[in-house]
Amino acid sequence: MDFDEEPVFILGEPYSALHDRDSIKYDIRSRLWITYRRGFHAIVSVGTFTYESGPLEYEEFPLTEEPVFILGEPYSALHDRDSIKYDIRSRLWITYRRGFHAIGGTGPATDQGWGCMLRCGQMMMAQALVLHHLGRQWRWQPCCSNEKYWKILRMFEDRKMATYSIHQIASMGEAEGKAVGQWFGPNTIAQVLKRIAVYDEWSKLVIHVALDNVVILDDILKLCKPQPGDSESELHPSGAVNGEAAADKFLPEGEKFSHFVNDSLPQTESQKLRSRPYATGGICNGNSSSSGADSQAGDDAGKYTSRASQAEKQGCNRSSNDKTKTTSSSPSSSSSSSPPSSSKWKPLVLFIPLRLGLTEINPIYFDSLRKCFAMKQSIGIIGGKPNHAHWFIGYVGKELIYLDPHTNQNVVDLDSRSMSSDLSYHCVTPPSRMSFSKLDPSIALGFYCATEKDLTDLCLNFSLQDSSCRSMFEVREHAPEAWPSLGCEGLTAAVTPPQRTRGISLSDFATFDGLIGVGSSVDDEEFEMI
Amino acid sequence: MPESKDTVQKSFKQRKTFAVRKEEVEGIRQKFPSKVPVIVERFHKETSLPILDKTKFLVPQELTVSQFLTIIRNRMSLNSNQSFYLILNNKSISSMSATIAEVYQNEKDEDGFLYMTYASQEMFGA
Repeated sequence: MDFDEEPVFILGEPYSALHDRDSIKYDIRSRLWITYRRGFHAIVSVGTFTYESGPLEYEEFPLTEEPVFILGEPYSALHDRDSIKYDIRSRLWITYRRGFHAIGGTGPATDQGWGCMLRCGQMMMAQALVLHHLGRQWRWQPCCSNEKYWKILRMFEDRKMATYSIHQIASMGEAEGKAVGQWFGPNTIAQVLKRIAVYDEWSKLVIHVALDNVVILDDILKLCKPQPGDSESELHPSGAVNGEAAADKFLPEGEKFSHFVNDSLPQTESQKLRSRPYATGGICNGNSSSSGADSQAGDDAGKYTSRASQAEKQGCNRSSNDKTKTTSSSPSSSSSSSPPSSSKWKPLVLFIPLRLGLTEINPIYFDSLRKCFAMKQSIGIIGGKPNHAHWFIGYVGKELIYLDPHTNQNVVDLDSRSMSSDLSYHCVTPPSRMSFSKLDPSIALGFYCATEKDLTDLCLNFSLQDSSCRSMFEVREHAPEAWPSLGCEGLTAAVTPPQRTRGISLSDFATFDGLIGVGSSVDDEEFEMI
Repeated sequence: MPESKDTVQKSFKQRKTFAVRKEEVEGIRQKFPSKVPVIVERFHKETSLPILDKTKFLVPQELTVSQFLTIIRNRMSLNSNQSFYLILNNKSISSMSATIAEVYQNEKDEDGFLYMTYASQEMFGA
């Protein structure tokens, strides 16, 4: 309040703005402040909730016996309430920011109003990195001093030098036909992350984006499990490219960006399309009870007993010293610190962009989506409500649980590493929820496979899914006949459609095996013969 | 691929009555019993994918979904990074090895045509 001598009246009480400052404050804050709320019981039987993104009061997590899954972890909404809370707030919550350096030097300094899908892609990618470097059981606490955690976080800082920054993503979007500031779809962000991850020297993840509802294992194995004959430099022409990437850090952003854009993806560039038969047994012969069994099984079994108290007490620095299951059995500890058993496997991030309906999502897919969140390889789903992107991390009963990037925060400097600079990257309020039926049909599923077995188990799970749920996509060992080969821009390797010839009369049809217009007897619209 | 001048073009079903469509299928099925009549239309809200110059196709019944999809993709000269979905009765095609005849059995319309709508993905940003 300004310091001046004008009279002040609050609901009949006179005050002095100079001398009664505290009284004014206490008077005003004694009033009941009643705001928009969400999450109350429907006013009429069919309640509609308007979309509110402001930092209002959040609804507590529901008390229900319905199953809860968060990124592959099962919980009880009745008994694991603290565990759920600590799990969710440990995820990196990446939101709109304002006040960062203009993208490309002259571009926007905030991503409010355009960047939400980019932020959701960052959150999902961050989750893959957390799994890779810290493990699923890692938990964040304020004042966390874990070096790997800070290294991950800084890769998403809003500065052009950061590997997965909004600057890098928005600029790389131009390679996918998106100018800085244009909206992304789930496939767009997946494609951009695939291009950028090549420059993440620390994590060395392989990203595969499945095309047209088909996951082709041959393609993935070529990326993740280079044949013995392949030198490292062949798949990742690291010598040259990585050197350049490092040099880029010192180039002006514009130059760096054009380098990104003009550079084709090193991974695909050097790829030889070999045919390597995939062991069928890995997918079809496994028995269902083993699908969830893995190195974490022992951990899974024991986690219900003391997790809440464990999470409660455990600061993250303490957890790293602790000999508890948290660090000892996390999948990442094997993949990051020591080579995994299948020695040459490069950890995989698999994106599966889908469209599960035209205007509205088809409810036949709800159970299939639920199963995705139950898989331990899950890094969530990116999608949203129409126009608004969210990162979906799980579900409770009929509702999806998500982290929402629609809060515009000031940019923070993570360099200073002040105790609280990472606070704004964690969502401490109860997470947002929405009904499955509100989900926009355009989504991308995300999975992280630290080992080849993770991928095999994932595929087994997908194939089991077919019996009870509608399948959303197909897993195949080999590419279908006439399918575009991996990394082949413009489908040059695909079967060329037969020459199209128009205006040929019906009688000529038999002499052509091409596409021929066939005069319809009913009107002037012709059938195209394939 | 030339864009249609009439951007708010009516759908095939809106242009023709049920009786006309049914008659048309019967006629073409008689002439080509081994071909499946398929209507392929762009989703009315789609903006990034081009409009096909044809909507009516006669497809050999033994053609697989993946072959059909590849032909359509090629006709649009789509880049392999671009998302492209064929939606039938608000469902996405999920079996690439199924034949068009199998899909026709399960998804054909009352008028005898098999309707497919193509779309990419929605964009998010607000």
